[in-house]
Amino acid sequence: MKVIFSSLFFLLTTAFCFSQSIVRGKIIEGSKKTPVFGVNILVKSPLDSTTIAFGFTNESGQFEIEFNSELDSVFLTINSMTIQKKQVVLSPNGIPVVIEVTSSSLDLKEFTIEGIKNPVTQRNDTISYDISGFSTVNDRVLSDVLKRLPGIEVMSNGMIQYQGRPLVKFYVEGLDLLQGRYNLANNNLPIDAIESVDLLENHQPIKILDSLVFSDRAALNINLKRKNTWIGTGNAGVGGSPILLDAKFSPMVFRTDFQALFTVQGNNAGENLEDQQRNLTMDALLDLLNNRAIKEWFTFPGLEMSGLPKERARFNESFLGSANMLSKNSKETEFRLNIDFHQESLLQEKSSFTSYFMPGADTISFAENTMLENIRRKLSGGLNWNRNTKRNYFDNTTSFAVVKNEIDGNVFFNQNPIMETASMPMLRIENKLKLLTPIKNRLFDVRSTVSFQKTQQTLNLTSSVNDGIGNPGQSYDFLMQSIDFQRFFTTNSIGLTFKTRNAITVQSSIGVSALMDKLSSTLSIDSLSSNKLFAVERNKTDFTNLSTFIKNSVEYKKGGFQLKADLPFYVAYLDRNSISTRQSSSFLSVYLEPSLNARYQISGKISTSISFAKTNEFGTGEDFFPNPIITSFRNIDVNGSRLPESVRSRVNYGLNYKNPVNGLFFDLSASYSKTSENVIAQYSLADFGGSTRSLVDFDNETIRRALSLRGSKYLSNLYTTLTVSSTIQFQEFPQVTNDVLLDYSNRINTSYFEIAIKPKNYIGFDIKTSLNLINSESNQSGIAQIKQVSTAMGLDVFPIQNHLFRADFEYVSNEIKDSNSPQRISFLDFSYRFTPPKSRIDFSIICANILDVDVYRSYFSSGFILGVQELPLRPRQLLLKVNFSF
Amino acid sequence: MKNLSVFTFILVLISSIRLHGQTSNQAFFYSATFTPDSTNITIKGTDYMVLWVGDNYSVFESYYGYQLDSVQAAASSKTNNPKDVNLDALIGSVLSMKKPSYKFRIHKSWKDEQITFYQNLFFDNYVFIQPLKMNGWKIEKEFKDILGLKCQKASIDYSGRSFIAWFTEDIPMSDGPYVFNGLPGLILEVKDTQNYYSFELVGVQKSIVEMDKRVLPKTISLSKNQFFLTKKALYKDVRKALLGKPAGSTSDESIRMVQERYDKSNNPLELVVDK
Repeated sequence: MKVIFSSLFFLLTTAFCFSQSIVRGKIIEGSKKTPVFGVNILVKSPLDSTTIAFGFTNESGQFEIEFNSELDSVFLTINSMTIQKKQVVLSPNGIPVVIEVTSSSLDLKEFTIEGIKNPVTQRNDTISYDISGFSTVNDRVLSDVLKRLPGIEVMSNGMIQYQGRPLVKFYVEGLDLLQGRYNLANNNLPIDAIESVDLLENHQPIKILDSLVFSDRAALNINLKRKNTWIGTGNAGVGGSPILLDAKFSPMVFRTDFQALFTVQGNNAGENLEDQQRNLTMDALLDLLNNRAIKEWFTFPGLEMSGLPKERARFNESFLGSANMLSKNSKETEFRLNIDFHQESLLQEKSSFTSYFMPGADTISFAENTMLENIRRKLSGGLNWNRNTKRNYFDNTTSFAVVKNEIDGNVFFNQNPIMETASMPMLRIENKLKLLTPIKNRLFDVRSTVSFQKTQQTLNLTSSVNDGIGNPGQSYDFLMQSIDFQRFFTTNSIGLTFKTRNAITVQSSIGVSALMDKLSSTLSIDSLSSNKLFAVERNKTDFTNLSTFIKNSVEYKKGGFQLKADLPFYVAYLDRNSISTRQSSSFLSVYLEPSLNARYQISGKISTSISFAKTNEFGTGEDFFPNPIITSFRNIDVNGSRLPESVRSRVNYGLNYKNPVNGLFFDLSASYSKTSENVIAQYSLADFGGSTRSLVDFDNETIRRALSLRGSKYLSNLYTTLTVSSTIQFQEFPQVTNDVLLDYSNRINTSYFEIAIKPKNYIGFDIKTSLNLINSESNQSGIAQIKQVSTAMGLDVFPIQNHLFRADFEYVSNEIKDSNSPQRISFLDFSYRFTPPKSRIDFSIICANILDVDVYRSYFSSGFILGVQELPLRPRQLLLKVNFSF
Repeated sequence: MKNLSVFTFILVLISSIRLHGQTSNQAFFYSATFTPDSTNITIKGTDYMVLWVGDNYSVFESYYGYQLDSVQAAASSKTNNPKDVNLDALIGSVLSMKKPSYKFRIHKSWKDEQITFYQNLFFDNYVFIQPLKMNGWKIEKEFKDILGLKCQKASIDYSGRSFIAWFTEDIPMSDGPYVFNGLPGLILEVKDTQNYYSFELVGVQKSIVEMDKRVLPKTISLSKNQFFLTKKALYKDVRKALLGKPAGSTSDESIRMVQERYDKSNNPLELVVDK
């Protein structure tokens, strides 16, 4: 402690022969006699009062200053911000002195140089997200640049995530025109119209909104250079073969009181345009779970195949038109209107060979070749009224959607032709209201959603030679089914949010919700041979779920620790009636859905989290039909069981380690869940391949476990990232197959190894090899072991500025154990882009499926089912494209 | 799991106890300029810095950064501000604010005789500690007037650059911008001899700020040498900073362009790091 605080000395520029001088002593406060810390001591020459040396007092008020001087006495100037300046004369002989000083605070005159005075009102976006620092000559639209802003990730469907979480808002010039459907802006806003992008988040560089609730929320704002004028982008592409067309035109205008964005797009090159109008915000994702959308009753083979990107197999003609407008008045009120029309015509072929492994080693196999024409049209729109002032917040959205979905197809089922036509139109009307108002440090909110949905679906099947559909042992010539379903749903709540002083936020709400379903279905089967119409099966049911709830949620946040506990309490009255079978039941249910979330950032490198949740779910009107409903030409559903109820408990654990210093990253997560259900699916399988699925009363449990590990290491010298990842999922569930109850288990193991080598210039290379193992077995026998190995390689070359080449090679092998015919497929794609300097036009050539692979084959498995399926692929195609912006 | 949460609670408690109040009573504002690219010295960056000064303790940081934090703090202190309203209402004010260039926060403590240096690099916050004392000040007999205060010239070699500082005995505190300190008066101006980096006093205010809150959260602790090596490595190869982000989320071309930008940031204040 007795370290002398500081003593520095310097030489005078004179020719004296110096001798060592020392001043030492102690500074104390005059009245209290306490030592004074941090006082400046200046040793000055009495001749010209230049500073010879200086020092500072330590914590005990002591100082010692050595210097070279011939002087036999010096001035000591004693000064600090907390004492009155004092000057004493002293002989520099090293004898300690005690100097008393008087406390006083030095009053500095306040001033600010003009021009720098008020930085808040000025505008200058020269820093991190200034777009010019990130954009390249090859960029056309906003999304090209967004991807490369540090921390921002753009997912394949266009969803923008900041640090792994979806955005909450997407603003253009501070206004939220698109309300989450931001792909429209992201993919169409020309880059040269953009000045900068601001990211508003709870962390770096801008801290905002860390107030009442866990804020993992980030918003993005786009600032424009070119305002108040029409701007936009477009493209035109032609190619072959067959003749390919791809065109887009998107004009838009942004003013302070009015914004509009229009787009017209069409293609037959495999691109699905529906993604363009999808709402991608976090709220929308949550809404998706809660909006109680009604289902399409009939299933048809789709494009989903493991390891195959859908663009390769989509034979389409797609069209999208969208108009979006926002008008803002001076009273902080915004009106938004949007109208979208989307049409997609698909031609789809799929072949499959499926085996059902029956209890007792019997196997049923069938072959199915489907050819479908599907036309789906959707007209949707919404009107939003939003008023946002300091005192309150009001938001109301009225929306509608009309869908027409028509399917016309031919199936060869074990070589027997079947014609199927289906129509699945839907109507949805919805109103959503949200009101927030603060009352005495508390925030009140009122939320209300009302929706009505309606569908009238029909399925016609002609010329079946199968027996078993409808009436066992009977074949039919015509089958006609129609289903009418309608749903009314409303949920309304009032809530209260407040924050206590000790970092705790409490949210409470109380509300009621109602779900009312009406189902009626008729099934008519006609047989020409017996010349009579028979078996008119009819369902007429209704279902009501009225519930009232009290939700309480507590959040605590301190330092790196966050805790959130929810305890919603529900009282539900459920009522079902089947008019056709005269069944009727009702009961009252009282249940809790507790959940707990804890996250702790142990250090800058390690964080960990744990969560628990229990949920209760009841069946709806869609799960109650005592008489059969045909869901496809070979499947019948019957649900006459008691009301399905499932209770699910889930625990998740996560651990995350990241060390940017040595480039190491590691991630672990584990989860366990148990679902208890009071009904079980029972399958009756007929020899020809038809199946009947019915729900029967039987208490059972499904267990799911998953473990996932991921590690990455970056090797700076080699510009190489190595990544290893492995995920294991287990699922155990019981199922009744032809009256035998069996326990099944599925085990899926997905692992990959990836090397990415990306030197700074001219070239980039990456290779990823992944392995998928799917293992299905019952407690009687193993059913299937599927192995899928895929290797993807990508090569980027940019030899000269304004030119970009990319080549992709992909190899997929699908294999089934004990089979010696693995399916091996290779894809090769190539693209080139040229952007003339300083122009708003660029050219690109895209060549896909160069090896002209015509078909993709893979295996699938679940429970007792194992199959192989095959999709025809789009042939080798070349597309020449011109992109422009204005 | 139970043990873990108990453990976390204890940790949280300890960390809250350790906070002892350091409040400032003065704020000195400096205008800062820097030259990020030594191959193109016409490009100058600027920032508006503040030195919060209290009893034997000070914090030096970007005032723009401080203002952005304050907006956030204001939002969280008002319990009657709904989250959605907050976002919409605050967006305007945040958008009109300048953004900080310097992402460091330098805490000087005369009691502990050390400088705690916080800085954000890409997605992480770092901290390192260096001794407060700067050896080698040469005080020269040259004087000039800055803002009506008599200033004396002093020079020092620091981290591979030679700096000229102007201090005034009229403000008797041994502090200054950046890490500079140790003169018998406040440093009102400091520049390196090549004029790449400069800090100049532009304002004085009485101002009470809780200085110990001006830290960065969730930091990774390194030695000074390790920190500058890490910074250099990340700037040299930004891909290293992207580690742990989903593969394919950033295209090669994008990374290349970001890299080019960082390649232009080749002229750090610390040319040489003393170990």
